[in-house]
Amino acid sequence: MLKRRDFLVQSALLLSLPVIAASAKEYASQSVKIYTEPYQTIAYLYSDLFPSNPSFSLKEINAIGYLYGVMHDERIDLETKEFIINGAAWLNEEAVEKYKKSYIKLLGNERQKILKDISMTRWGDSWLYTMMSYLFEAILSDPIYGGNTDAAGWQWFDHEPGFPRPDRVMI
Amino acid sequence: MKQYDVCIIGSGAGAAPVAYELSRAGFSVVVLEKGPDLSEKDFAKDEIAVSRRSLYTPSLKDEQHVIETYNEDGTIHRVTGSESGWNFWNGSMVGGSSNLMSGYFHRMKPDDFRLQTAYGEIKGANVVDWPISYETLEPYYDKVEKLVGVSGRVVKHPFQEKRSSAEFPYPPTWEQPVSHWFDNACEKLGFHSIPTPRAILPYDALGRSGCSYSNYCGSYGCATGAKSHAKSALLDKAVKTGNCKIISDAFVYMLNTDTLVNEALYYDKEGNAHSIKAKIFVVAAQAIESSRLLLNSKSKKFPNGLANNSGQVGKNLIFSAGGSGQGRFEMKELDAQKRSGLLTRGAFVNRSLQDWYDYKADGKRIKGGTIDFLYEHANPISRALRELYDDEGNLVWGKALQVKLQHAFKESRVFTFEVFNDWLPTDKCFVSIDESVKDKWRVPVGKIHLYGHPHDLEVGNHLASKAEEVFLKMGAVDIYSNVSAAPPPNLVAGGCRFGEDPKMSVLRSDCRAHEVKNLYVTDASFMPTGGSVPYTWTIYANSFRVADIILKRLKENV
Repeated sequence: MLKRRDFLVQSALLLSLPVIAASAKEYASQSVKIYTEPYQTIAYLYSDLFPSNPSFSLKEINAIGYLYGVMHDERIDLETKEFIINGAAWLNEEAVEKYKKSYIKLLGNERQKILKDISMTRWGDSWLYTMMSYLFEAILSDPIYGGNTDAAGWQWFDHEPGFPRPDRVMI
Repeated sequence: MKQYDVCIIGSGAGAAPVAYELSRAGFSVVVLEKGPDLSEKDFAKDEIAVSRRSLYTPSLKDEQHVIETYNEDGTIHRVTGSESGWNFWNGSMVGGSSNLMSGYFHRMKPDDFRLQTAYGEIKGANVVDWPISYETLEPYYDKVEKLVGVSGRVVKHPFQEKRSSAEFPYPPTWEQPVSHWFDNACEKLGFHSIPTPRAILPYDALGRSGCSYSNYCGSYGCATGAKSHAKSALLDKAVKTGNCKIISDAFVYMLNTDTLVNEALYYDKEGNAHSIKAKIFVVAAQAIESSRLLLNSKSKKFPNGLANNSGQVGKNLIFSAGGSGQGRFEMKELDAQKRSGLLTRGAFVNRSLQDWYDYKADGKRIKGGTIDFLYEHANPISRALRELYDDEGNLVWGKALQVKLQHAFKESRVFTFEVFNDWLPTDKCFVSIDESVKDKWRVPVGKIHLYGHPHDLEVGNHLASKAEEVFLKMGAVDIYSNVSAAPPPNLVAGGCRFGEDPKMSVLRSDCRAHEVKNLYVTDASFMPTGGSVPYTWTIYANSFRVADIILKRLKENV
């Protein structure tokens, strides 16, 4: 299975992604269709990786809308975007194989078991790290990128930004 | 077509002093810079753009290097930058990578200029003495302090080099309370704490604003001009003379030569080709790219690349050897005053150790180096990512991750150190051209052959162990260090050695090519050995030295 997945990671043009430059004014989407894939699966994944806390929820912080921006960011290579999509598909494959249900239909403890299992694999470790990278970007980037709404992420981390802050999306 | 007195390729610390001095003396200067011309208003503290998306370096799809390393069995492992993500670009913009430096400014020591004589041969390394001495460069180190701007405080320590000025022209920048804990720990250990000289102005001076202590310095452009980078310190002033023109987004791909270099050919942002004619050409595109330009500039007289009939161009590439380490201070272990001190943001740690710049091991004299101390960088995304694995190397998520993050961000603070020691020059570390890989302009890219001499690791580990002693004495926990042969891309030198022997060096002692009378190289390429300090101060100083030489030549019209 690993070999097949490694092949799929490297396989170019497995999925055709629309290449649309992120808007000069807006990076994250404020209206991403959350019921579409990979966003639906990743929304559940994100809530498992970083559960809501009294300061903010990932929905409030627009983590999925930010990921939409990542998927349309020309500075992020196509292989990474494909890996994000494929990883969500493989996560569901694991869920179906083990519990006969897709990831989003599993109970919390079942999802945790799946995450534990894939984290022990090479692709799973790499994919979860990638997903956490963009989740942290959503939580801790300047709000001008459309995540970290009202700087709630910075507040939870007690983080003070540097100044001057960006007055526009610079990428 | 206009013929300039001087055409400079590149605009960083090796280029700007030449532009500054010659334009002020009334000579016409043109600077060709591959990157854009950014201003202070462009330098926001934006981790996504600057650190996560590498805004200031080219896309590796457009411009890359080929990197070759040596496997243990002697075979070669080859990757391209775009495949591997291995990025050797630094600041691609007017002012070059000096825009993004942390500005830890140390002078090289007198024995750094005579490494072979002072320490002898090391097997497998091409150690040589420099053709100039510390005494030759000292007035120019002094000039950089005053003209470019270096702040600090001179203290007595075993390796304090001679200075023509008793004190730095600017006092130290605002310092962290932890700097005094550091001083106390060093005193107890018998070490000599040094306030790190910084290329940062603590207050308004030299027509620039003082530091705003934004807490984001290294890797970021300076929004006030306090950082003594080439643009704010020198190029802006050169342009004001009316004699210096900077052409940005100009990639020089070839120097045309008959007996002399007669024109620089460059592509603009749209890919249109242009030519610049000048009496004298100065190459300062940063070490790897300077060698690449010369190697790609082939002609009838120079079939192996410009100034390369000796075969020395690209050879003896060096980086800064060493590594880094860290220790963590736990808030719960500290009293209220110290906790408050630990939360101070914006101020600098500004501390170094050079007690082991020279030490003995097994009765033998060894060349050591410098250790700089600082706080972990403020970038929150990078800091959070460092908490993703537990001590056993397993990924952590959910509540356990949140507890770990809260501890990292709210209940502790990480103190770090960086070790700088000589990366010994060898036959196995050099730059060549890879004709099979071309950049977006269809120009063959540079191929970096990487090799770190085992001696470098021994020295680096010795220095790191000393830094760890200080952390232990200060009460830090989770102390560890990582010394490796991985090259820091922003600390690169060599490739166009200066020296007296034309068969073994590219440049004369005045940094003019042995073989080409109107070609100079003034970035770190000239350095045959690197010393055990960051390079920028030495690059600035040497460039001022060469500027004086070119100025004299132009005045005498020879």
